[in-house]
Amino acid sequence: MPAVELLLSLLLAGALDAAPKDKPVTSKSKSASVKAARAREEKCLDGWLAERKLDPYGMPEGTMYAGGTPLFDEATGRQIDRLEYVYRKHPAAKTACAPARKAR
Amino acid sequence: MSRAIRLLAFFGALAGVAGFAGHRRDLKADDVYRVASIRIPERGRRAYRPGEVIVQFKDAVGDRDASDMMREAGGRTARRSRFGPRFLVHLDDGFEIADALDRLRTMPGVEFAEPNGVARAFQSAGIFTPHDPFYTSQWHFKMLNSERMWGIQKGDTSVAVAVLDTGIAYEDFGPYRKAPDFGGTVFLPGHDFINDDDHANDDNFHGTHVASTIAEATDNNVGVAGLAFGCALMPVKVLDAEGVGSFFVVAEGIDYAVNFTQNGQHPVKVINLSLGGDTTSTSVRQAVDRATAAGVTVVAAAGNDGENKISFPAALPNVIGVGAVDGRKVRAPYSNFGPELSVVAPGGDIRRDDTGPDGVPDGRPDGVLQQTFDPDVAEQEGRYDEFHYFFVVGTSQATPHVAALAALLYRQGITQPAAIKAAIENTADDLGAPGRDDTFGHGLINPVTALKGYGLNQ
Repeated sequence: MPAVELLLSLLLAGALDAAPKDKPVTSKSKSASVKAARAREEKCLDGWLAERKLDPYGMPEGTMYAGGTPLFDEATGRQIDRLEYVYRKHPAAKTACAPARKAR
Repeated sequence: MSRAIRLLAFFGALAGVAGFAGHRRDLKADDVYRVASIRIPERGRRAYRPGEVIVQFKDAVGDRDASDMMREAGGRTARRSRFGPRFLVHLDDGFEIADALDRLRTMPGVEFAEPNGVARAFQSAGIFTPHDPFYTSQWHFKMLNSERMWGIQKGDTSVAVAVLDTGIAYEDFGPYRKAPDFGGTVFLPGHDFINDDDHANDDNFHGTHVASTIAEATDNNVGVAGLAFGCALMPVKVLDAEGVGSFFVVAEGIDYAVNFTQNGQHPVKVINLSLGGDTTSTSVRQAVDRATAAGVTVVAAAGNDGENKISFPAALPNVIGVGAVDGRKVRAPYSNFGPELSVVAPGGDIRRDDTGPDGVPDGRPDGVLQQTFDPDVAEQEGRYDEFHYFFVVGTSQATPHVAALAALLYRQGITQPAAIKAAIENTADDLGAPGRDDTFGHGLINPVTALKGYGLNQ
């Protein structure tokens, strides 16, 4: 039993030692990879829209909006995500640009 | 636009200002306000004394006959003027002033009959305080020192602002109704470029709210005030019921407003564009240039992406591009910024409560408070007659404050758009980094300084 406790405490100590060094690095790199994935998706969508002569919101070029954008509801103060907004209008864009979800 | 978001009627069955002023509600950061509304009609300070009418009889009418007529109209007691057959009539309980007046006015012996108006002390010199019950909640006007501004200039109908938007609730036509608080507002003939007819009625809510900030009927004991309430409005519909339009119709709308003549004059001096897009357009740019050459000032919203980019056409050099600040004079989180930003004006932040009638938070969201119809009722029931006062936020709401100031500057005698723009920019209160910066442009507009420094009152 004391041997098990010793082993356990050594393992825990190792984990605690490693934690301060590894966790922020992991978190930063995860955040960076999320940003990079978002940038890739935005770039893909912009290309998809440009090919079809659509504006950044998926409407024909030359469309004007109350308040300058359809992504902000002036009555609620709520901002809408552009990708979600365009994907709702153009499911094909989602198929083309959204990262495939992992199968369970 | 989703119609599923809930409507928050703060003061649903409220009838008076006392109730309004006393109502408090905590705001939470995650509250979702479709719109917050205050229902109408309400009367704060009465225009007329209740239960009293004045009636003047013709000289030939004797006091006995006069007495019979007054009794027949609902009079309980009457006080005769010492200077002629004129009476102050106190009505019996249950008799309405309007009914009594209707009866008296049909009687052959009556010269005239009118309600007994409330007389008030004159305003302080240089200050004009409007008697609109919800004016005290228009923190966005107080921020601009509106009462001192009105002491200098209120505008008149020789200057008109064309509102290119979703239309305005300016007439009774088909399912559309004129907004009650546009009672005294003058409207020039407009055009609907979406449906191509002459009835530029609002089917969204946006345009009516924007137009109300410019020239809501003011000092009429109803609702709220408008900043350039003496000026005329022209409704030009270039956005559909979803708030969407195109370069082509916007350019058409600009040309319509610029070319409109009445009695040989071009009354439209200002064009308000609480709209924009992400791409540029030669047709819109050229229409703006034609407007500028014709002496018309174009004011446009910087956009609501909260990004370092100014929407088109606000980014054009001939346009006054307007960003938004909240009740603290901090850039509103949605307001675009960038090198083409000209000035900022109050656009509000619906998630904050930093303002109130006494300068302290009042439990209401800091949106721009104006009249429009309930868009949910419009969509669900096809009715455009459910008018309330709504708190709405955005650079769309900041823009008409600047358009109104431009209109007042025209009334002061300035005639050139470049001079109007310079007057507005040069007198703005510097915010943020010293001098012009991309967050606030030249700063928060200062109508009092602009109007005192330029034109008639120089």
